[in-house]
Amino acid sequence: MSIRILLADDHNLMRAGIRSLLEKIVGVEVVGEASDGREAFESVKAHAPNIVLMDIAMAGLNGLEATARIIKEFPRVRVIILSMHANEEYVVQTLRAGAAGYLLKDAATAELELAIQAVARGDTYLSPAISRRVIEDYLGRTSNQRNPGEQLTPRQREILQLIAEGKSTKEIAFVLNVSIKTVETHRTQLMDRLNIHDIPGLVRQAMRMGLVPP
Amino acid sequence: MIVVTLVIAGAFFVLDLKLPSGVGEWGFYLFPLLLTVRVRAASYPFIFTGICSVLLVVGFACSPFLLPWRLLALDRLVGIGALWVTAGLLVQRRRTEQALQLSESRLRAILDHSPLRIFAKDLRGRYIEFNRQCEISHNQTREKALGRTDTELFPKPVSDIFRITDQKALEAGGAVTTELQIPRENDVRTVLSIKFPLLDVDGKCNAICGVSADITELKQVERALRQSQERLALLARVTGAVVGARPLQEEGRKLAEHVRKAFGVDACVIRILEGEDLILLASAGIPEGQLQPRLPVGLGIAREMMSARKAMFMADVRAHDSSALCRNQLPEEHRYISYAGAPLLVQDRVVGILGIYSRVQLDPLPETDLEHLQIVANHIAVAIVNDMLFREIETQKNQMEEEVGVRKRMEEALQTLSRRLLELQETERRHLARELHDEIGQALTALKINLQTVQRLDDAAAFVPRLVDSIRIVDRILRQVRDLSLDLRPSMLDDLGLCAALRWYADQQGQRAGLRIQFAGGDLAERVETAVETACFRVAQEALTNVVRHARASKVLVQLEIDGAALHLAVCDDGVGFDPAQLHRRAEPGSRLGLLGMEERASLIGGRIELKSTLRHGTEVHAWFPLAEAAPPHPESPELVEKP
Repeated sequence: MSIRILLADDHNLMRAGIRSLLEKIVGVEVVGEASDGREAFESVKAHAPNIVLMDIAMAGLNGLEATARIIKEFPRVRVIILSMHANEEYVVQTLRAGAAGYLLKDAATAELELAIQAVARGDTYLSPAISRRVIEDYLGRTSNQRNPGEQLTPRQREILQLIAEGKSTKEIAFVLNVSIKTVETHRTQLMDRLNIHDIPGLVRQAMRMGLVPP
Repeated sequence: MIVVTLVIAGAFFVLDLKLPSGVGEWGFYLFPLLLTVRVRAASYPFIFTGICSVLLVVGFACSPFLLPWRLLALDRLVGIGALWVTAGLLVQRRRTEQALQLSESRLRAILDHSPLRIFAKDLRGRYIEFNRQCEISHNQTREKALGRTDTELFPKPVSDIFRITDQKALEAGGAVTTELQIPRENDVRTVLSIKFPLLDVDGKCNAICGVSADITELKQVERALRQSQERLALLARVTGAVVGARPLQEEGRKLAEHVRKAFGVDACVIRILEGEDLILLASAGIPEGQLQPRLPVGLGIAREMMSARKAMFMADVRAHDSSALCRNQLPEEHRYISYAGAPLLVQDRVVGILGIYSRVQLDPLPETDLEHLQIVANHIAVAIVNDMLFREIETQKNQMEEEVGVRKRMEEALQTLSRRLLELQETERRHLARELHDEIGQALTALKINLQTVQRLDDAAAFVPRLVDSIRIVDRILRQVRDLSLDLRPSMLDDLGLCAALRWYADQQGQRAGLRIQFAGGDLAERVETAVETACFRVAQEALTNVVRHARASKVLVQLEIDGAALHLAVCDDGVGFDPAQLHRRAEPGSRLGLLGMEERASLIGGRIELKSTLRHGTEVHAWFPLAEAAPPHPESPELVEKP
């Protein structure tokens, strides 16, 4: 018996692309399509699919709420979220809402079949990119080593900001009430840490860090 | 007596006729002549002498002569002359005596009808004169007093006073005027006394005379007059204060002093009613520091006075519990016995109390004094109300000026804000245009070249590297588009809600800027209104941007919670902070503008922003957004206009 699939996405192009991918997979049958959350919920009622492929950002009832409602009403239906966002917040929220899988849209070509099979088996599926990102996020927040900005001391950050604001060494020394030599030392150190050795590069870095407006 | 003298004279005449004429026979007539003294008519001796003269002549003519007639005639003539001289002397004396009697009786009359007490004492202090007025006022009869001394007549304190003044007059050798206080059984009389020594013919003092008058009533009238003059002057001063522009307290002190003097009491206190308390305004006689700064209205006589709306008097405050309590809180030297107070009334409204205090018991206080106190109190009340009104107007004026100032500043701020917003909009458009053109445009161009190359290739195997490269480029474009879109408005805010969006943003900002930004607010389960979510997110975004740019912080806490019917956002950092007072004067427009922007965001949906900061102790930004309890979140509701 083939796996019955319902496809919910508000972009026609996307729906068509995914459908063409699904049609290439053996043992899978697309029983319906929906363009928003409410429609998806109605379709589940009507077609009783095994798996729902659900986009998040949809007008009306969004994917997250639709998922929660479907799981509540039809606990046997499994939902795989199709998302553009490889963001921890999204993953956590959708899993909390009851989704059984989280698949990045740009990884669909390679992973759609894997995901459907895993979820059909009763497992939970996360795109490998997600798993990696989530772990990286987690590590990044605890180790303080990942981001270049975090390698700087508050004083160095301050000097970077002043450089990016176009202040000369002399002016920086005056503003911070330290000697020119101290400023130069700090500047050398921060250039070493960031591995950036020109002023335009420093300005770009400061913009990236939000120290100065873009 | 006339008859007696005439009979005697007749008898002598008969004898003269019978006897022969001799020398000195006229001497017979001397005896009846002397008797004429007893006759009332003053000129009678002359008449009698005339008769005698005739009789002597007749007797001479009818008698035989023993001696030569010439001698006898001479003798008779001498006799007649002697008789006339004697008669003249007698008449003169008689007249003198009568004049003396007259003068005596006049003096007596004067003395006895004088309204003044007039008396005289000899050098041993015995009364030799004591007129009727003396009899009346000392309750002694003249007969009893004459010949007696003061000590015998009067009680010792009185006689002592008399003795001393007598002494003074004697020593001075002239008139001495003194005002004496003479104690009597039930009162004290004031007596004005003039004493002077009486001199004899040789100019030696032989007695002391005194004239005195009881001026007690006069004194009282004079005092009353002076008092009413003082009261009048007091009223004039109080009226002056009513229109005066000097500070009320200063004026109050002067008024209290005037009242104290005018009523001749030890202290005067003015209190003003403020809510349920009587606040000390000013005092005289008792230092202000010694008095209770505020007294409850409900205490003792104050309450009675204020409800009765009239002045009251307490002869002895020790008899009243609450008043005695107030009294005993004062130091020993200010503890008063009698108290009189009047409510300060303006159109039947009590605005305070005027009180006077006396350490000597006043009993009773004259009714007029209480009336005067009330009149003064009414005037003071007007002065106080005037001052209050004046100050109220002043305050209102200041408030209005302040409000105008605030409004002007707000207008200026809004202008700056809108100008800055336009600038920001332009900057952001420039940034977006650069991103789209430089980054995405370049990448799409590269992609197009790749695809065109593939189009022209024949060998399928040669496609692969180009396609791999193209997918890589698309990946990059995707990432850039996503980043750009997130920068504009994070999709989480719509898809997942405020908490998720804030957590993500805090995380991302922290990592970008190298700050430790902690987010707390996971317990916020429900979605709130879209407008509130957006406003709150933008405020947090602005606050965090400020932290990154200005605070030099190392740790930041972003907190989200439901506070009653409002959503409360707090962004707290451990950075350098600032002096809030200087914020508006700061040259850096960015941060000020950021604050203004936040305030605008919040106020547009009825929320508010609060900024707390101290130099070197970090900054806290608090924002409250009202939550519409009844209305459920409306996904279709039009969104707040977002920045492009």
